Amino acid sequence: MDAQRIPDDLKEARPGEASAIYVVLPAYNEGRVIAENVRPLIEAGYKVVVVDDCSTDQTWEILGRFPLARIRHGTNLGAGAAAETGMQYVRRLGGGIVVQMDADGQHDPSEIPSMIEPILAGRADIVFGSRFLRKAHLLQVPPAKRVLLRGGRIFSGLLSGVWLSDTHNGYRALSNKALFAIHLRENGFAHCTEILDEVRRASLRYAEVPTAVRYTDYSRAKGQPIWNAFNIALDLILRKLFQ
Amino acid sequence: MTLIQPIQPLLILILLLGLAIYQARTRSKLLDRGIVFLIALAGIFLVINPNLSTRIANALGVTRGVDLVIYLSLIGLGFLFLIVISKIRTLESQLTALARTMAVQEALGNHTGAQAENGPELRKSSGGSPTR
Repeated sequence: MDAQRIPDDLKEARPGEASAIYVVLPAYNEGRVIAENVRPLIEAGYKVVVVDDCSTDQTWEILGRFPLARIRHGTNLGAGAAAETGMQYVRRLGGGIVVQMDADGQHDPSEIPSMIEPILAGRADIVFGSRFLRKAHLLQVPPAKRVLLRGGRIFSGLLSGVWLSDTHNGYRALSNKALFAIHLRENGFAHCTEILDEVRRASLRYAEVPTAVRYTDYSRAKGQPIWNAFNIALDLILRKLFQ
Repeated sequence: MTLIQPIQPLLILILLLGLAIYQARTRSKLLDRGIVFLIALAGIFLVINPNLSTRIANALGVTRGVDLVIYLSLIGLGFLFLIVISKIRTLESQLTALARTMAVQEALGNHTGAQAENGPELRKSSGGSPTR
C-alpha cells in the first residue's frame, strides 16, 4: 500500500495553518494491522493522528514506535466519538485539513490527494468518499452490503436532507472551515448520518469523490455486522427525539 | 366496598415505601418531586376508594377501574422510559466529553515547546503502557 506523496508546500505547512493536512484514524483493537496502515501515511509526509478507542490489544504500544500523535480514550466510546476526538485535537492545534479514514486498511491512502483536491481548489468544504461512483469500486462491495448501504443512503437522506451516493463510507476530508463547523455528538456509527445534518446546518459545500474500499478477511471480521444497521437507525431516531 | 381488604394496606405500604425511597435517594428538581408525590397520593387515594376509579373509568368509556389504572400506568411507564433514555444519553454525552478532554489534554501535554514548534504530532511517541 503506497501513499502518493503530498506536495512540498503542503507538507511543510505548520500545525494551525489551514493547509496543514492531518490524517485522523480512529482505531480499536487494530494491533494486527495498524503498523502497516500508518507507515505509508507517515512516509508520504502526512501528519498522522491515531485515536485509540481504549483498545485491549497492543494497538497503543505499537503506535508508540511511530512519529505520530496518539490519543487514547480512557474508556471505549465508539467510532464517532474517536473521530470527534481526532477533530478536537486538530482544532486545539489551530486547525487544518483533516482526512478521516479507517485504521483497518479498508481505505487506500493513495486516494488522499484526490480527496482533498476539491478543498484545495476551493470547490468544497467537505469531501466524502464513495464506493458507488465507479463500477469497478461498486463491484468490490459484497451484494448484501450493497443493498444495505443503498437503504442506509435513503434513510440518511430522508433524515438529513443531504443525499450522498455512499453515506456510510468513513473516508472523508474536511476543510478548516468544516472542521470548526462540525461537532459530532453521536458516539457510534450513527455519526455518519449526523455529519450530514451538520453539513446542512452549517451550509457547507460538499462533494463526492470515487474511492475504493478493500474488503479483506480481516476487515470483514472487524466490520460492522449487518444487523448493526438497526442500532444505527435507532440511535438516529433517538437523536432526532432528544436533540 | 366498605370493609378494608388485605391487599389495601399492602398497596399503600408499597406506594409509601416507593415514595420515601424516591424522595430520599434522588436529587430531582422540586417540580419532579412534587409530581411524584401527587402521583403516589393519587394512588393511595384510589386504593382507599376503589369505586372511584371505576366511576372515573365509566365516565371515560372504560368498563373497569382497574383497566383504567393499567392504561394510565402503561402511559406513565412509556414516559418514564423516555425520561430514562434521555438521562442516559445526557450522561453518555458527559462521559464522552470528559474522556475526550482528558485524552486530548494528555496528548497535547506530552509535547514540549520545541516539538510544538515543529509540529507536535510528528513527535515519536514515548511508547509504554497506556495511561488512563
